[in-house]
Amino acid sequence: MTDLGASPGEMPKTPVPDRAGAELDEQLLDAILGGQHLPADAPEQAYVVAEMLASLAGPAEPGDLAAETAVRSAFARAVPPAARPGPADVTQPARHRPAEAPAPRRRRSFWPPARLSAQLAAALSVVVIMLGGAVAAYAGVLPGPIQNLAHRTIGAPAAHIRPAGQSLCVAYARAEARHDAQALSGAYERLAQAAGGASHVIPFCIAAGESEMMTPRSSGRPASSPPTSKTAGSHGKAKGHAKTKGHRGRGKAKGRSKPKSGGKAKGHSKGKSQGKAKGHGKAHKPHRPHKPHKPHKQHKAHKPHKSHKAKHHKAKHHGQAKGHHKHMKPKQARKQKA
Amino acid sequence: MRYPRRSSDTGPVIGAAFGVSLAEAQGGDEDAFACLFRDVQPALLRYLRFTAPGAADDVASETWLQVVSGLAGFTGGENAFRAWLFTIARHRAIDWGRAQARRRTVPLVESDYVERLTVPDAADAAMERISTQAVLARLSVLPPDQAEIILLRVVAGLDATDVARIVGKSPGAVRVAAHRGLRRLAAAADKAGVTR
Repeated sequence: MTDLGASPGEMPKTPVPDRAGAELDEQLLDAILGGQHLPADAPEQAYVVAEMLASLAGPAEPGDLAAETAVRSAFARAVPPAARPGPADVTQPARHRPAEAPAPRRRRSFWPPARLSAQLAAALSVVVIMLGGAVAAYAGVLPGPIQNLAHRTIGAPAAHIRPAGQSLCVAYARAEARHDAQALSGAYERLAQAAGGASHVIPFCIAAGESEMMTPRSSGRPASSPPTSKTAGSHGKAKGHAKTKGHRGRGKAKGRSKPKSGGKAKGHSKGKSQGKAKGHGKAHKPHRPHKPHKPHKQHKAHKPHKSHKAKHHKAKHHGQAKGHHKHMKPKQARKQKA
Repeated sequence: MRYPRRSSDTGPVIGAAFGVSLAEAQGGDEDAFACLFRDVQPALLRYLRFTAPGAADDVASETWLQVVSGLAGFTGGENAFRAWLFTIARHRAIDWGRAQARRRTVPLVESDYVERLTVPDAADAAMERISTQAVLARLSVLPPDQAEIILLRVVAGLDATDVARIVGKSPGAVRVAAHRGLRRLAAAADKAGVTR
């Protein structure tokens, strides 16, 4: 029984803390780690641990050096005998050795150091980009402004005008050849817009290779413009006209397009804009071969329509000033022509 | 005063001649390089037998290959050389551990073929091996970081600063971990009834 009146068996069994090693102070542990002599009054555990560590750091086992041959051969492969220099003064560490006897490198890497590699890569990239740009400039495949810049700087070919711009020049030339004020004004507006201003129209078309079209021709029609169904049909879009065979001697225009200017000619057109031009479609002789180069003569036959209406008719027929024609009054048309 | 039986053969033994050996090895002298190899290889293998059990020889070979490739650029004394080499070995052991985690294998029984060919005294070697293996087994009761620090301090012969640099801790933390490990080792030996 204890003083508390409980037998030892009734006392709770608390775990006794492991005091082994607790008496090893830090100095003793440092001495063990450093392989130093232990004091005579050191505990037995200190000696046990010291002997264990000493056996760890014991002499080499026979099998420990079994890999020496393989490592030596690897060393020999890394350093070819021809590259090995003679004995040098190596009494000092490599850092303090004179520069005339540097330690040769065993294996020279094929690639330069990282910093030099980055600079080299940047320089190569610049050279490649410049060469590629020059090649592209001489091939004429660069965007327009860049191609023009290359044209001015390194003499590369000038930029090509897009086909759309070319077609605008062609349309303008055609309208001028026909002396069609409406079509001319519309084409000129679009051309000026595409060229970036009225002052750039001529260089624009010169660059497009259509400079010859800018001057009126005696023939009145560019030889390069092929007859299309659109142009053929433009002279006879009304139904009655569409049946015209051999109109202008070129092709048929049957039902290709809708007339928008023929006036109220019944069955000939819708007459969207020229409501006053009654009978205009009738007056126009549909089966007569149309001579495009003598438009005035043809319209002179229709004296009542000699005015702007006839011109509207022609402009509309040629399909060049569609928007203008719809909403433009005769006075405006005259103004534009002026 | 009693002296513990301590023969630090795995520690730095070249001494003052290390600079000459290193320079000659950097110059391509194979014998000088072999001298460096014999100096460090036993300690390296014992360290790797704990950190990369079952692949100590392979990891040691990889370590030496890397040492060969970088030997020309190395500068420093023997302790710095050991610290550099054990840093490489630790990295290779970590790589091996990661590879083992990805690829689970069943290890075969270690062959003693090479050792049987080169053992001069079978009894001494067996006793030494048993002793070393027993100590390594006792070290395995410690937490891995404590055991590794004790191995680097005792087997590799590195000081606390070098060990701290290798394991990525402060020297104070290394010292505390080593002390805790030694105390735990003493307690385990006492519990197992190990005496001198």
